[in-house]
Amino acid sequence: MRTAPDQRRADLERVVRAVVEPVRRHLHRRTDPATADDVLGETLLVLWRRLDDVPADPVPWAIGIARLQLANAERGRRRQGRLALRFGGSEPTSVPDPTEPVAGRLDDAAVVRAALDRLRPADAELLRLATWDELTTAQLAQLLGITPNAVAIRLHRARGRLREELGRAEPRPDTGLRGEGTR
Amino acid sequence: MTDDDLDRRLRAADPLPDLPALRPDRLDQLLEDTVTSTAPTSTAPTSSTPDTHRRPRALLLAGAAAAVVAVGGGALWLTAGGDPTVLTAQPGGGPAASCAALTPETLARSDVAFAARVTGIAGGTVTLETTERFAGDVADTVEVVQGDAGDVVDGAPLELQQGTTYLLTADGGTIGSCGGSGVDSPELRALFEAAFG
Repeated sequence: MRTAPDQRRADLERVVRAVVEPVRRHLHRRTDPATADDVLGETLLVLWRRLDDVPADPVPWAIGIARLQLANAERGRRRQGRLALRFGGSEPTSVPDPTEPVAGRLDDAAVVRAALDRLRPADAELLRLATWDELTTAQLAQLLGITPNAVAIRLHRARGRLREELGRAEPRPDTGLRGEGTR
Repeated sequence: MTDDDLDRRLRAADPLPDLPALRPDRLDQLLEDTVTSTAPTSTAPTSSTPDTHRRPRALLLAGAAAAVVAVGGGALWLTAGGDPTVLTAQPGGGPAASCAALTPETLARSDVAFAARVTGIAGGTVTLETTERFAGDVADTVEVVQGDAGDVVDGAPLELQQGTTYLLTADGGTIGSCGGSGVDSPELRALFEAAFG
């Protein structure tokens, strides 16, 4: 028979195995590898502490934790950047953007990513969560704390706005779609 | 362009279509790190649940940085004489899907619990004055900075209003969105008192 700590650890392992790859992919799409690894560790710590609260589908829950942990990590980094500017006068080192097109190649993927970057952040992130992270409407509803119906409406609107942006981009696809200030 | 066409283009724009899966030994290590890093320590004060003794690594790493609790799109800065505590954020789990019923037992798992009154709102920063401490180290002044709303699609941000007193909890550096924080009310206060009294 398992002791309680063993059982707890087994429960954690089950949850982690279910969520670790979706969470890793979510993070690696959005930040540099070192930060992604750090935030993954933080996310697992929260899962471990809140093991009793893990819902039936742990994936959107874990991604929800990861994205806020990431937001905090980014805030911390910006604070450090501000401090560096204040005391050292040097620019903070910029983090490589994994979505940057390789060698300026402007293929359709880059056009789509650039159009995403011009959307309202919430619209763009909803579309990324739905397609890159492959969250279902029900999972998005859980993650965002809204009804599946509201998710469907927001997705519909976000797709419409992306279509508009793509339509705007397509007549002149060679004009530096990812210039300064698009993020 | 149909929705399917658009989604296909979006998927093709995924910057990371084929991240290799974590190696099994690395996953084992991660699990081990997770379990051991939150084990009770001999120096920790006694607490109702053993796994609240240790703060997450983020708190240690952040050291002299400032304190952050994101509440939906906001961030709480608990400043204590230049030696603040870092707290992190809890996603909006949603009222229906992932929130367990709020009980004194779930509330008692919070590292930090306090009451504070909003004394100022300016330039996206809300300042609160701590009026009561139920658990954890909380400075006299707490600042909520409205942070990257774009980072958080939704969540359930607390609406902080001038002059109003709130009961706030953070668990492992995390303010939950499942009702553990809110306007000071007899119902919530009764839960706080049962949890931390």
